[in-house]
Amino acid sequence: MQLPPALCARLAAGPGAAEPLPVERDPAAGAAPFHFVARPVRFPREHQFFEDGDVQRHLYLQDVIMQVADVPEKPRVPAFACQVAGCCQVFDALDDYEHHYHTLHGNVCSFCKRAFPSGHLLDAHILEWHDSLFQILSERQDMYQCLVEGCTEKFKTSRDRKDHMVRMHLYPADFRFDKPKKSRSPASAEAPGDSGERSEGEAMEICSEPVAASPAPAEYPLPSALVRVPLEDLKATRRKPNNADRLRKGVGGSHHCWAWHPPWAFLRPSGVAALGARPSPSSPSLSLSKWHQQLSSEAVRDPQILETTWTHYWEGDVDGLSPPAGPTLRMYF
Amino acid sequence: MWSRRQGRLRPTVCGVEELRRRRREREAALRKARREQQLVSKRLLRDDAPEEAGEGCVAAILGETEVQQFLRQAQQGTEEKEREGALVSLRRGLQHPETQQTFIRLEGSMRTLVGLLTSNQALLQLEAARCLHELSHSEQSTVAEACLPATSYLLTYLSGHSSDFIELCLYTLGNLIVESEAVRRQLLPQGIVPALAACIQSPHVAVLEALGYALSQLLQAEEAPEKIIPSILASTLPQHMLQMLQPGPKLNPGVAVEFAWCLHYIICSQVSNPLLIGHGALSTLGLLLLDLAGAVQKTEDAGLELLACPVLRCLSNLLTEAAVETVGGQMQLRDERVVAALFILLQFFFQKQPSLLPEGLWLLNNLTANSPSFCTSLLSLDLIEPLLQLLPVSNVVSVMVLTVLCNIAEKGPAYCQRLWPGPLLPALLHTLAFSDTEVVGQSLELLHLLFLYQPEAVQVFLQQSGLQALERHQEEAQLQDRVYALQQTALQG
Repeated sequence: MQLPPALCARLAAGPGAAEPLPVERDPAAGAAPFHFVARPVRFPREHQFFEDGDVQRHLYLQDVIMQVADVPEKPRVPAFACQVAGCCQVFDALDDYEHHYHTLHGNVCSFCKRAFPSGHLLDAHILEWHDSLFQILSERQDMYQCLVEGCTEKFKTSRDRKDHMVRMHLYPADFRFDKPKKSRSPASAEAPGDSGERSEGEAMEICSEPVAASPAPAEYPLPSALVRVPLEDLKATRRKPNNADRLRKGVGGSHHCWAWHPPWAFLRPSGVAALGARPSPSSPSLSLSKWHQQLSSEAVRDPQILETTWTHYWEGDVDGLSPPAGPTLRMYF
Repeated sequence: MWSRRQGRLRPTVCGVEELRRRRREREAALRKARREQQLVSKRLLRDDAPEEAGEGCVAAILGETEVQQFLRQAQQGTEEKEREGALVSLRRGLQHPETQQTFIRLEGSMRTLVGLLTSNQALLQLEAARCLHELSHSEQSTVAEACLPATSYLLTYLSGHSSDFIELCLYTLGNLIVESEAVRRQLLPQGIVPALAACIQSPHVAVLEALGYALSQLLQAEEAPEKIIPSILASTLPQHMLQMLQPGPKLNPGVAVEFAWCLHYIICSQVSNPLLIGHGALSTLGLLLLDLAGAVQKTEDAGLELLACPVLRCLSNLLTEAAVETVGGQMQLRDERVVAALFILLQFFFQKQPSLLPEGLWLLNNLTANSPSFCTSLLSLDLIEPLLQLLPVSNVVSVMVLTVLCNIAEKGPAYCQRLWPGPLLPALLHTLAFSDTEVVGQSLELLHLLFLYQPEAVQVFLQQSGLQALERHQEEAQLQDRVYALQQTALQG
């Protein structure tokens, strides 16, 4: 097929349209028995016209797929260690290091050091776990955003959100990146098969395990609004008034960690219900739990209680036993 | 694209003849599958040829105990190297369908694998993903469907940052998508479209290519026009796809191929093409066509037809939309360089891939049918003779060439004057000798137009034994009336 030499030049030159020759149709053109009509043609998906091109496409794909399945030979380099503080992984291939870095150090929560697969999930985590404003607002409006990219639904509790993700988005009920906050278990990497944990969706729950020396700060990251000290100092701050000890003394060696519950737990009706309705085996005197209930019912009405309750503890005004009368609480704010 | 793929090509032990034979077999299998509308079947994606011992090690079939042992080692081993090694061994075993079956029948196996996939140990994660990828290749739908518990995580990881890992997840998803409607029924509510829309903003070429592949598989699904394409059109994916097709230094051929095919599947489903025209699809594709024609002249690189084919299809189908006129789309394609580019591509197809000539001619028909400007371009750029040179290729090509010529001729005397004298009449006399009814029929239509608008041609026709050529067909049912009419015109003229 010989093309005129000027054609390439035409292609290289600028855009332009030919001035059309005059169109002048004779009605006899389309007269029977002739039936030609100039018209653009459209072919739908499965039309046989596409067979050859489709076959070429799939031959190409076969080659690509074969090659994707090959694991490339990794170029090795002298062993080096990950530079992130506290990480002692050693690598001898750059690709491995890149993947390690993105997985473990890429989207990391600065409060609790948990790593997330994406910025999106990290942001949701920080908001829900470490932001006190979130906790306050979530009492009044639906704040728990669906974790599926592109879905804008919001929910009142993380439980409701999980139900939505399971029902509407067909996500697994034990989706690893939607774990509720745990009260006691160590902040290790989520081990496989740990779906045997207790209640899901409850923010905090009573734990009946013995109190360890002091809970790891990572488990109770204080809301930034409350305590503006670096995490390191939090450890020291926490140990000073050892309310756990006090409570223990007061109630005869009980193993409760109530004192260590961040006060917002009491703001949550469901959380409180857990406190009230599910007393742990060695429950304290009835008066204490009643006081907690009273506290919560006051608290629900006014979010100011958040700060006040904590102050309440710190000043050691609680002897752990007798609840202050209702009106007294109001003295604090 | 091509250089990267070549880097990964395993050294082959087969000779050239053997390769050709296998390619012919594969082609025949694909052709058969297409006719049965089974072309999306994944069994065709994996070459059925026996494994070439490229790496020097032959993977053995693993039994139940061995699978369990490897899984346990991977999950509970103390040394990270040991855990990784266990998964590597498992992956090799999973290349065999028997091992795959053993794996899925083992209770808790997928659960463990998903646990490793989502662990914080990066290298274990990668190996677990490779195992999953192996499983996703399976021809048995039970095996692929056993991978369903992993899909929410695969989608989650698409918004991560590790490009190799994302690429692997995308190819795995692509394989699973192809497998069954059950898988797609889960992936759509799980948010695969928004996940892809977010991932398409990645700067990594390999990720984009993998994404294009996965998306093209999604778009080929039978239920795509009703269930998938509307949500894709509603997302930001179309704009991004068109961006990947814009010619310029950033254009990557491998990526462009994938998204061009994606666009083709969307466009030929005719869900909402005016929307694409509104996004500038015609203009982008037109410029890409020019770019392709330029590339074809410069390089001997095979593979450009892989991109040219879907681009031609998209343009051709889009030109049939009424919106082309109203949105001023036609204006975007009045540039006569498009015709020049198309002919350069036709020549390329003629030499390298004749099976694509009909597709190029299809575009030429759609360009010229309602456009006096393009018809004039064909005449002024001297493209009639090259067009005629395509007549002997095949009957399909002949009919299309003749149709394009009719498009020009029907516009009236001003056009026919430029068609004659010239090579047209001798060519027509030649096609009248064909036996194919459609070719002859189209020749008769063209003759009729030529006689009508350029009566001088009749004499020459008679002198060159035109009547005898006509007589051959006067018994043919589909042709008789037209043959008779032409004979009358010739004798009276």
